[in-house]
Amino acid sequence: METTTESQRWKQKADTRSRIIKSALTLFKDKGFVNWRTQELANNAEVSHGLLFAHFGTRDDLILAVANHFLSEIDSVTRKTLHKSETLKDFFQAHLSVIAKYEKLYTRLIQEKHFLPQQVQALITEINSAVASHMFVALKKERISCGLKEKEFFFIFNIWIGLVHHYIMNASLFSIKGNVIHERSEEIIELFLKIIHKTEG
Amino acid sequence: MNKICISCGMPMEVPEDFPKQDTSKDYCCYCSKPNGEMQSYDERLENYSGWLIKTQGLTKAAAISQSKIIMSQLPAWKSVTIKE
Repeated sequence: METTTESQRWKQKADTRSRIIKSALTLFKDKGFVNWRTQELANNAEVSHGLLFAHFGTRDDLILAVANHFLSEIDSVTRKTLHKSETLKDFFQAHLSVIAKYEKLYTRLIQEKHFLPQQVQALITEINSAVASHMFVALKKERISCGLKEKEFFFIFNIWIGLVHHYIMNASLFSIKGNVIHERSEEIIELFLKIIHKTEG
Repeated sequence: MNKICISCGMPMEVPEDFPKQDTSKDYCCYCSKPNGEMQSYDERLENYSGWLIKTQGLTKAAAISQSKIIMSQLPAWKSVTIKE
């Protein structure tokens, strides 16, 4: 009986945490990661202000948990393409599919990065390195080097992520509906692959 | 089998992710020494910052600073006092 009560308590705790994260994802999509009020989030998640802090400790911890919630999906989805022995094109598609899924949130995160807690900034760095590692595996699998030595492969990743972020930061110039990655991912991947294969000769 | 490495946070999903494929370990193959033991804080810091440099071309100072922040949130290193 005690075990059941304990497991019910765990489930209730997990459900509340999940509800807070879900509400935060919606709130941050509209207001960004910087300009929001904890009371507003508590109201949206239908929890007390105190319970919010019982789950996350500080405002910064909550921002980190929300960022981690969708950034870790970028890592896991691009990692899965490797386990399935897929191509570089599959890797690019996997990367952009998660960014497209959370496009408004991701855009906010990149725009506001320098105003966010240092843990969140470091998390973005960490996820980028994880994605770069997966990209390197795909490059090696297809024997693509773009004329670079292996220790210079970071430059291919930097061009890729810089390109993606350029489209995101200037979405109004490149998109009709505002979801630039969703609208133009196929074109971005196709043209980037053309450049990569051209440099291979 | 699915675990999160206590030292670097990497998801461990297949036996190859574990040191010597020992799935009872709570740290991953990248955080272990050749003998299977977990790397020390300084060894992990060196390797982690090296990974950030290799994958994104960060400066050494930035890579170390970012690594310290990331590691400070991981179960294995939460209680470690960071040396400046």
